[in-house]
Amino acid sequence: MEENAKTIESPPGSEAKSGFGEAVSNFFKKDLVQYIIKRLLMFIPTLILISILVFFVIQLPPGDYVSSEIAALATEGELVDADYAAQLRADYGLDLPLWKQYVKWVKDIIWTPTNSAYFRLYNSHHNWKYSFAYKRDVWSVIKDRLGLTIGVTFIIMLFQYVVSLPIAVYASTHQYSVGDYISSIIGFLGTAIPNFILAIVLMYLSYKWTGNANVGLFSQEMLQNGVHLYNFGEFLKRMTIPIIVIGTSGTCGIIRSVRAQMLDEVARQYTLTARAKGVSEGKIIMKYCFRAAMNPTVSGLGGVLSSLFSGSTVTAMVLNMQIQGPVLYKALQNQDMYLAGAIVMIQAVLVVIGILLSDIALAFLDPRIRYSGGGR
Amino acid sequence: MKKTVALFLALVMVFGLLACTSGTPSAGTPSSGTSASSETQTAPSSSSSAATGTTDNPAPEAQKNEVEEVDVNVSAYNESPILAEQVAAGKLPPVDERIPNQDNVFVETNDASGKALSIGTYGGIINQGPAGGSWGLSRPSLESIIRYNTDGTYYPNVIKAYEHSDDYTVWTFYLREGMRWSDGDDFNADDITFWYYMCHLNNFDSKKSWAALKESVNGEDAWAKLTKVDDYTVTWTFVNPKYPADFIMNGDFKWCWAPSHYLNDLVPDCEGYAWVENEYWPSTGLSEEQVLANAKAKGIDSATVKDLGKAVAYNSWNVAGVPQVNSFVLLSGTKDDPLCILERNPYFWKVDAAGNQLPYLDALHFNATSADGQDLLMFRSGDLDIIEVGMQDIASILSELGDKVEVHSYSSSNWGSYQITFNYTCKDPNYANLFANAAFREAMSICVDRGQVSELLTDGFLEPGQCAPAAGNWGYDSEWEQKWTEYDVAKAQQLFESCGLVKGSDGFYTFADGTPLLITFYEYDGLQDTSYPVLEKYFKAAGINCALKNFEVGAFDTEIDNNDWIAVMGPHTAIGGLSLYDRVAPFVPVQQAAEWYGDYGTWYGTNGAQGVEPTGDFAKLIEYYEEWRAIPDPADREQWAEKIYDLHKQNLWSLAYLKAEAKYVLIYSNVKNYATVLVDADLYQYANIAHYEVLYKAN
Amino acid sequence: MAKIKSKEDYYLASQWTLMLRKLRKHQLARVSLLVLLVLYLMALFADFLGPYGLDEFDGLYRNSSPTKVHTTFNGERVGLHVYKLTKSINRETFEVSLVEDTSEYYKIKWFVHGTEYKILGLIPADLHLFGVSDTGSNGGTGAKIYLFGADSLGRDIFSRVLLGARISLTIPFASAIISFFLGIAIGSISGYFGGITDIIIQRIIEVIGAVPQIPLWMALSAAIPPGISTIKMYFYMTLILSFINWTGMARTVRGKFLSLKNEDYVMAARLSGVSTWKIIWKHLVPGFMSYLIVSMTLGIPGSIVGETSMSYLGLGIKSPATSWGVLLQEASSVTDVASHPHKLIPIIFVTITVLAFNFLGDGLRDAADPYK
Repeated sequence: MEENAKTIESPPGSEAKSGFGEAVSNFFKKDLVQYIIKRLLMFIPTLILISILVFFVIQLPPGDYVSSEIAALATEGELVDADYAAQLRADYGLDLPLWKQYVKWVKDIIWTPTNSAYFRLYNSHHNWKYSFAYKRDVWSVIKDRLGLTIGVTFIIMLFQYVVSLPIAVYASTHQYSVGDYISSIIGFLGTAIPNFILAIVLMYLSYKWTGNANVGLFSQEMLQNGVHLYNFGEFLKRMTIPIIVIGTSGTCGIIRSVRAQMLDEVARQYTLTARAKGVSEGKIIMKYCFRAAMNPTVSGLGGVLSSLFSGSTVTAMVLNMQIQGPVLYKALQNQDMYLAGAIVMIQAVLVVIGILLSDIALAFLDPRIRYSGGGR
Repeated sequence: MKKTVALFLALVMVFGLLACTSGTPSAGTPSSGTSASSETQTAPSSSSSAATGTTDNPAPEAQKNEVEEVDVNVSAYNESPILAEQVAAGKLPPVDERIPNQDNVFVETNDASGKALSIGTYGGIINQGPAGGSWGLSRPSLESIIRYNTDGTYYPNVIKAYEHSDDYTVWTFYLREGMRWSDGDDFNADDITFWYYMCHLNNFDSKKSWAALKESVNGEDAWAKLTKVDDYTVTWTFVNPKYPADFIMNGDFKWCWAPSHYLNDLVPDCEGYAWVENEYWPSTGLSEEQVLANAKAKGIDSATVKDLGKAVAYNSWNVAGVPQVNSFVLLSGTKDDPLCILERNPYFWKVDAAGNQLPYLDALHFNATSADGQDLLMFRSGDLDIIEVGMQDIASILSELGDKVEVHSYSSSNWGSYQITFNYTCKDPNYANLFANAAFREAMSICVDRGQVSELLTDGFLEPGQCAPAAGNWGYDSEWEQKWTEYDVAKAQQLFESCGLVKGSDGFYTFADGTPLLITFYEYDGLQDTSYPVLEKYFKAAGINCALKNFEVGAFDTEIDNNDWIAVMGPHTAIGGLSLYDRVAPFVPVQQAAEWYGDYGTWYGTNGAQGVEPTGDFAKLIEYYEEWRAIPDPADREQWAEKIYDLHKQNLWSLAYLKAEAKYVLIYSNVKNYATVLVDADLYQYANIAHYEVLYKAN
Repeated sequence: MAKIKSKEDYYLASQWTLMLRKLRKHQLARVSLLVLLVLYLMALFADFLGPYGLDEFDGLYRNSSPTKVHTTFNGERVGLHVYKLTKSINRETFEVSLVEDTSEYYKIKWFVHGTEYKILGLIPADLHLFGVSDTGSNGGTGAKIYLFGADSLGRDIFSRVLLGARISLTIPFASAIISFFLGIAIGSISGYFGGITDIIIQRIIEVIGAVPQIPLWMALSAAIPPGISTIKMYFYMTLILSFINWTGMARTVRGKFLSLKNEDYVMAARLSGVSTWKIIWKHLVPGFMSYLIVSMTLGIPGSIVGETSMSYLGLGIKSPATSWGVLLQEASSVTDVASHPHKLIPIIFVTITVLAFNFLGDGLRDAADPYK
């Protein structure tokens, strides 16, 4: 919805044909620099607010980590006495009031405590605190998956643009033609079929047709030896289903927004002028209209990135992708709150950076936009 | 019934005691394992007349597994070619130096059901689904003090033999000379004393509460005294008699050793984990910070000493680097990795009948999954060799893979499926009184058409039944299994009215005082979402208004512990089990564990400090249990177990609607030596009874 | 423009008339509008159109594939009829086979009396569009007609799709309307007043956008008291969805305000003493209402798909109440995909609905542009 909103709100740039140099010099105008600094400063209160909200939202579901650990043990047949739970809570600091736990958490993120009595048990070496479920440093749990998450997200985003831009351009230059309808239906289909069921069906079909369901991003061989050039083909093969499922779920938004922008541009005066001057239709479309139409798309990039990053949790679970989403879900489920908190905070920071980047990109591309008066 | 009980007890328990009369202790000749020494060597001298666990006792044939004879020839050892290469490269000592000699080695000849094992070939990997919780990796790899067969007989496993004094106050464990930890270090009596004094009694492993080593002396808790007799002999000395059911057979008491050479610098001497005075191990003098730093240096990341202790001295198979005596060991990574690998223990102390060192397999692979059904797909693709499946998933896989796979089953120790139970200690007296009335429970049981439930939920595969031991299990009683199982709504409604319930204008019963009756069934993790709508329809048709509320399992347990509940569908700790030897808590209200006794269990568990004092039949359960524990002679003890079962039969504190579902395992046919029929029970450590060390892959 | 009769007509037409006219040009949008209309009507009369109720289980028909409709019985034309099934199970292979029992037939009847329901939740009725006769040609009983087959409790998927549409088609719609008003109110305040108010509201929007939804849903499903009616459950879900979704609308509105508030006509209104709220509601909001409606239309399909994901995680509506998400969740096991693919039929409905909303939104957008 974010992208749609942008599509509609952002005024198309009739000055889009202004040269690159002009844009650069414009970019470094004093007010823009000031604007960026101001936005960066605004980060701090936003993040504080987010961290508070996140910390409390994570703990909204009933129970705490200790109760879920004990329940998990009971499921395996191990019964523990009531003392054990109480001791564990005290050790983990879960018996403290919520606000104290929050303060502790934030403090530990900002600097790692040393020998103060208060932090006696959480000594020195835990960045972003300790994951109760994994029984190790939160950062060490996250970092393995962070790179993969970013890589996979990037590949999928690339796919989205490669698929959706041609469809959008075609659809807009052939408005209301059969081709417009067919390409749009194909482009929209990915969004229309719920991801988790598409994923399951595709995995099953993959098994039926190739004998291999391709569950997960890595074959066992890759998990043992790592991904190298020789097995990269296999990796790409295993990326197919995730790309189709997650990638196509985002194409709809892009197609729609670019198509809409293109339609606006095609009707503009400068297009008519260019056409009257005898500029070829292809050149008009690609050089003027498409460029102008890309503005809001570029500005939406940040949003797309962060939504891909956090929005594909269910799909990642179904496809057994070793990215952040499933870890976060598990952590939320068993109330491994520092792990969940850390992942959510990282995602939140990305969302905020995404919004900032898209605003800056928009400012860079469309010089009419003013930076005064707060916001945009 | 009495007869069944007698037969079973004779079977499970007696053998050790019968051997006692012979006066000549011998090392075990278990059905599925043989100490090569048994014929040639007499047991270590002991002052007391000794009883040693064996199965060569005159147990009734009908109840006993048929044990196939196997020719044993272990005059020379063979090893895996991979290990032989390492020996050749000088990285590993020769196999003869790695494992005990023929007198002390464990020769594995039969599977848990008594079938002879085939001699395997080395190599190969078995792929399984995720390792699961903290016990996941232990199931296929853990070697415990004793080991059970599917018929309930047991034999010494890690220890070579055990015996007890006539008065049951002194228990002696004999270790296997020449046995080594997975890193090559000697396994001897010091590892026992280290575990007991440095890991257990100081509560470093969080398990000082183990009943096996605890007794009551003058009303106070007291613990056994452990003495090292020589490098391969230790004794446990108690003040009061310590009977087998409370000691060697206690399900918690799976091990009594820890690698002293590895853990010595990880044990603190600090508040909460103070050094326990003993003659074998001095205080380490280490502070919390120091042990955590030492652990960090060994690659073990723990935030608290409690976590560290539980990691290295309790669920230590989950920590890479901690030496084990198990068949497969974790060398790097964690159980939560996308691919967790347990590798063959090169110092493993078991051989097959031909003298080949076990295990045959190079490694066990655990593949993480993140959603239900992935394992089914991975199994189809051949990425997994063994999976546990629900009944409903078997047909489609078999039709696709045909002969390439086999179905193996674990018969269930559960007392029926689709269970409900009520809170007899409910804070609202209206509900508590209603539930206490057996007529109400009967009505709730007979208002459901079990035949239809079976069709709707299982296509008729599971037969109608009651919450009772399954056929073939100890205490089975056909009358009990069919009690209150007829479908009779009219009678149910009469019974409801006999409980003082009054039908309101909306068709639902209310309490006599007019307050509405709403039975809210708690469930966890959505497990009853499918079955609830079916049962609800019957309850509502009979006039009982009900609802379902789902919790994450942790929150669910908290609700139960806080006594904030009315009824449960699909209890987390269900009533009953294989036998009283399995686990006591599901049978008797002795701790805060099972739902069906609500806060009564807390009362006993906290010595009356919290909870509700049991009355009536609940009190009788505890009374009989105390009697049961305190009787050395299994034949006498049996009558108390029988009385406990009888109370369950009379009361049916939990209701079930269908018979218990077996656990099914699908495995590729090229995996050999996996027993066809096993028993799923905590006492047998679930999949542990499949004996992964003898599995191999045929080409 | 061919359809416009005269220029005068064109100039005098309201914005809405113009939009509708232009909407006609987008063929797919018109079709979509029709499809949606049909779907909503089907949801409204689901009880009547579907032969069975939500809790009509039948163990015999468990997982059965769509009932075959026949016309000839033993070579004789006897009209539309179905056969009852017989079930047999194999305890070795765990195979369940369902075969038609062709010894007798059951006629399909129109306007039959069956499960009781209430028309529009008010008028009690028991009439259904179609059904099978209670007794077969040989006096047997118990045949069913399951056009889309049965689920794992032997319930009619066709009826459940129709009944589920009530929730799946309306919750997203209702929450879109609530977030629409929330978005306009908050967005206009932010955009019109600007300054510190704007900064604060923008930060709040960022914060809400950053908070994960899953724990919110978890907390919600834990907080909802057991045994509440579907209506209440529905209400809670709508509320939560709108709380999450208003932020996008607010950003849009704010952006519009920023660009419009300095227009001459606003200035004129302000100078002539019109109150702030009146300026917002009378002068500013109507200026871009069409954009907002479009934006709202496009938000609905996202929520429909979102609801299915929540159901997959076991959050949200619970059986026996049903929604399309619940139906898909029930069909999401590998075994179902492999052996009972008919359970995937509800996907078609979700897909068509989402496509229809998207195309309608596109058409509306094209139509809403006043300069064309």
